[in-house]
Amino acid sequence: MILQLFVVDDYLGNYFAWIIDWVLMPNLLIKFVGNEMSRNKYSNIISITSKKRFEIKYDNIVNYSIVKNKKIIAIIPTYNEELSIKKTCTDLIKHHPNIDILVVNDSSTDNTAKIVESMSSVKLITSPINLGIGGAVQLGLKFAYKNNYDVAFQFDGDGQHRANEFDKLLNRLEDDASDIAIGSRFMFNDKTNFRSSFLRRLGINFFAMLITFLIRKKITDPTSGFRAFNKKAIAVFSKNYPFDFPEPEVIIIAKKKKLNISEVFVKMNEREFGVSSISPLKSVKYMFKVTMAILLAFFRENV
Amino acid sequence: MTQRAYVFLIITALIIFLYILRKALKKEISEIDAIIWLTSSFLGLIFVSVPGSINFLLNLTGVKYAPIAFLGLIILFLIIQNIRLTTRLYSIQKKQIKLTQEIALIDFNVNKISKKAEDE
Repeated sequence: MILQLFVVDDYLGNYFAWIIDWVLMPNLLIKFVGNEMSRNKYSNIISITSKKRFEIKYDNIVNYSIVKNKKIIAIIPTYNEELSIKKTCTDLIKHHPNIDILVVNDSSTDNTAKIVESMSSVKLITSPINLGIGGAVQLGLKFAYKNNYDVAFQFDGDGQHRANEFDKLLNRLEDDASDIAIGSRFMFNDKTNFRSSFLRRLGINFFAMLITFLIRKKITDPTSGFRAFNKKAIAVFSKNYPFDFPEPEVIIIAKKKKLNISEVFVKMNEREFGVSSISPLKSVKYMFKVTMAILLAFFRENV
Repeated sequence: MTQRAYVFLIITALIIFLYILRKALKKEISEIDAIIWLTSSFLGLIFVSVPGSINFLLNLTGVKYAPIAFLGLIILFLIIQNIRLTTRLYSIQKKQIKLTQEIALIDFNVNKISKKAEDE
């Protein structure tokens, strides 16, 4: 029997992992259809799903393809993340034992490399000199490209991103024919989600509006570092990845390279350790620079 | 201009010229930079050594007040040089990042092979 959950939207993706756990069917076909759904509809679907649970029969099950036949890698760019890297990797292994994890140690001066080395299932690439976030992510994408991965995730090492949200991005790549899926905190006004400081949100909203205007596609979280790239996007960005303000610029470059971009609602955590590389005091300066970088990327001929 | 200032300018121009020449001979700067800087410092040396030469040249172009025009030319030259160097610096930065990434990838593969060999 094939179970098809025709679920409308990303919201269910939050619960995707535990629905799979419930039914315990490695080959279950679960199909996500559509893009829009209200919160009310979401709760209805969950209740319907719970009823269905008891009706499922396990014979003749066809295909749960999303992870099965794909070579997937999670790229974690890190710089001095000794306090959080172990937990990040452990969470990823726990939730996704079948995907490869690559930590790109961007010449950390603390024990990040040693901690990662002690985890046998995690791959570690250490850059001899500090490349910055753009260079580190590109290094990971180069690795993914050279090793023929189908999907590459960009995932922060500071514990902000949740490992159980992977499937939502993967689903989006699969179902929506997207080349890049971006995990967005701001797609819905979810007050329980970590949304960073007011000033930062203001900046992010501004970039979102600017990018939406430039690429004619709604983007709500252009600074999100939680992204999934398919093979086509891996090939493009392993060769050409912006260094200075990579996240917003990547969206512009993707558009110019005719890659499909879409966003998926995700929940994020507040970082437990360390501080963000962008302090509130530098926000205005950062906003100006990023705005210029976005405009330059848009008007540049060869991206 | 007083005689003392005149001597001071000549000595300064000479020192700059010799300094760049030394750098060029020791190959501490590239050929193209050496040519640009040696030419410009040599011209500077000529201008301060031959009184009236700047006035003469600038009068040919119709400029009334030579010192300001001369200063403007020097600033323009430095701006162009700065832009040129910024471009080169970015190009070098890109190459450096690419090279570093390649080294990191090779290093990863070497470590992988070493571990495999150790295990065997």
